[in-house]
Amino acid sequence: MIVREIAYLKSLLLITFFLALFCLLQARPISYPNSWTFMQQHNWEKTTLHIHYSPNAKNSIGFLGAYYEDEKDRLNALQWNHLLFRKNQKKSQANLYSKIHLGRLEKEISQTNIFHGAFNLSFDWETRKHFLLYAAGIEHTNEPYTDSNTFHQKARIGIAPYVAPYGKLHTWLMFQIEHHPDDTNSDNRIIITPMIRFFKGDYLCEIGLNSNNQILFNTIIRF
Amino acid sequence: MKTLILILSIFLTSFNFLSAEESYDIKIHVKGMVCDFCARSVEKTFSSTKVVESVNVDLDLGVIELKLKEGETLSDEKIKKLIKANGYALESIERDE
Repeated sequence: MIVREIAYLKSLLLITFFLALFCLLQARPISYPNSWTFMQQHNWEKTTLHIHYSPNAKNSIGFLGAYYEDEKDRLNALQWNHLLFRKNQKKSQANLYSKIHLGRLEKEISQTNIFHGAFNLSFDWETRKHFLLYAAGIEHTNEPYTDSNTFHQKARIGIAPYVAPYGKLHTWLMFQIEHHPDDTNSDNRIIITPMIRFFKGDYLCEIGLNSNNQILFNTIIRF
Repeated sequence: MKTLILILSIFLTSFNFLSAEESYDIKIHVKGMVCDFCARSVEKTFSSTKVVESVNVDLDLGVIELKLKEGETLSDEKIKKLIKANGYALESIERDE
């Protein structure tokens, strides 16, 4: 009975995932190139490199490469980011984004290449002094004997200690909490990371140290 | 004495000329322009518009100031289209008549 329920839930999750994927892929075609972005992220779980271009203000598409520290697995994927909703106010901006990637995961332990996909939703709201973010996502991996679906979510709050004029150095103090309920290591189920963000012109950099004493280091360059 | 006054006048005139703020033809009030990335985006867009000579962005006020090339014009419709294409909302346009 329980096995049947689990199988049913897994099927439901998969159907939801692919329906969402299908609907979003239908949402907007890719237009002409406009700007490029280089994003590097390093945290307790993985190091990623995401290079994409934005043909317009609502879409970006590009390459996502990731290296998972513990498993030593490598991911090569195509990622599409889409602005689902934006609310512009005089002193604030709110956004809802979807992020999808599909690719091949090179499993170090089994020396195999398997399908890996993820769907994330991310909501942020910011003023020149305050920042809020909530993001949630599911990842699907075609494991050799059993498929794996994992859920994760995170929230971030930030405050700018001073408001710098355009073109000058901006600094943000941020606090992030991550929830990974499916992680096998209980230390990684809840992770808290205070961090500092520096931001000037087309360059952004974040440095933090999490509750497990692991470093977070992110950079973004736009050109 | 006359020479001294003349030199002083020339000096003050040139100082005034150097410190004078550049005047702008169009002032665009924008909603949602809250960070440097946003400002950069609109600055690049308007800078690459043929009729625009220079762009100044005031993030505090949410204002984009445009100086147009001699004899050129930029319609409200075109401005609205460019702002929207960058993902922001136009609040109002002021023109230096």
